[in-house]
Amino acid sequence: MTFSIGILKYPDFFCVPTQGPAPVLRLYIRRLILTTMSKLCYFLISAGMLLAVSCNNKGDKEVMGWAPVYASAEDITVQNESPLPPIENAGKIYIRGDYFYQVENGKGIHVIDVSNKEQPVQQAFIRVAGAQELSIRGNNLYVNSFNDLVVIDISDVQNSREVHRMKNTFHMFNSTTPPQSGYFECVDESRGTVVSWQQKMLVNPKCRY
Amino acid sequence: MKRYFYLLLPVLMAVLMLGCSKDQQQDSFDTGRTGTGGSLARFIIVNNYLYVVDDQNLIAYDITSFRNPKEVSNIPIGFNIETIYNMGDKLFIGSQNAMYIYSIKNPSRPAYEASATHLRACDPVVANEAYAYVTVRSSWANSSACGGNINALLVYDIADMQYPRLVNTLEMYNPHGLALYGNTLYVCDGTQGLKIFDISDTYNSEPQYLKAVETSDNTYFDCIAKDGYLYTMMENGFVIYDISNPHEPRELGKILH
Repeated sequence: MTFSIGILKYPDFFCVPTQGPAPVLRLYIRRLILTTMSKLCYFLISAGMLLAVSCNNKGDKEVMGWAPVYASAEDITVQNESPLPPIENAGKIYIRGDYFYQVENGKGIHVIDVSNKEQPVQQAFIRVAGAQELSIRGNNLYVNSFNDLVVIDISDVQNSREVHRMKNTFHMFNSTTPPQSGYFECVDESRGTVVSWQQKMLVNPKCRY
Repeated sequence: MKRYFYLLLPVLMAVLMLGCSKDQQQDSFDTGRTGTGGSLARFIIVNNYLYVVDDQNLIAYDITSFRNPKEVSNIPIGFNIETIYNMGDKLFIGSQNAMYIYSIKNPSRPAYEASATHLRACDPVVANEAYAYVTVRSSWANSSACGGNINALLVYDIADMQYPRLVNTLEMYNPHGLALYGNTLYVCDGTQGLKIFDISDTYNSEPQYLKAVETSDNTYFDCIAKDGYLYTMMENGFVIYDISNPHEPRELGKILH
């Protein structure tokens, strides 16, 4: 069972007289009613909040909160993708020699041959879940995968492969807590990497911040 | 058991040495050439170090061994850090309310040099010897987390790097990234296009506005000027311009979805 508290947010819900005795008295009554009502309001809101997280028929606690969205190990494996996806959610850019690189936000890196500047050609797409940033040194592409720093061998850009990964080395993406405070479904690392958060009705949530 | 260990030792060493020589071989064939990123980048490589800014910290990785980065320092800078830029032995870091300057004379331990705070807004930085150029942008036009109520190009006098001085403020529409190319400054002003400024007069801190260019009603987010070409990051792809005449960019190719 849940309890809606939305309507109690507005004290106007209670009738406050705007006509009646002399103005001073009217003001006094008005204030009296308002203070009493606001106190009642606070009480009801707290009670409502308690109710909102209290028991349903089976004695389970149900509450609106956040749940992590997981990606499987396969989804987050660095690898080339074909056919080449179009540039849709275009991200940051990088140029080196005849190759131009553009991040596909959250998904990977487009590698574009720009030896002919009038006719750039998509050469490869390297799938890197959570990608936002990149830099290159030699045959190595440094990119973030969420909060991991990943080194990718691009000596053969059609067969790029991950050669090193530093787990959780910075905080660019918040994988441990949802975007808003409140109840949330605890992160279970065995289910994969957290790639985003969604709002969901939770039963007996154990995590909160 | 011990005897077995001594027997195994040479084998182990051989395996380890093989591993090493393989790595070295890879590295020696690799010239270690780096490229150029845009002004909105959070990653930048300077010599043997990769510098990364996350939301609060500046992290330095030693990448002398390309494929085995080692974190060598992690320095708290401030809140809502967004961009990093390098000039000489300085790092310029942009946050939502300040520009920070760090020295990398000792590259493994960046040292605080100065900061200049401004109104809360998003702000990438580029710089030459005389001035640092910062764009500040508020959230009203289609961006996410930037606060404030200002859209402008700020010019800081950094002749004395310890005391950056705000010397000019030019009103803009919705400025994102920016790029320097010799005496030309390019500002990506959102849907108002790529704005071109002449900054050849170093005695005058005010960039001289020349014109704006636009391609198919797109939003300009960032740009890189390199070897006669300008690469612009758009909402749904990129455009390449010929800037052999820096004041007159000529559109070459593009991929826009």
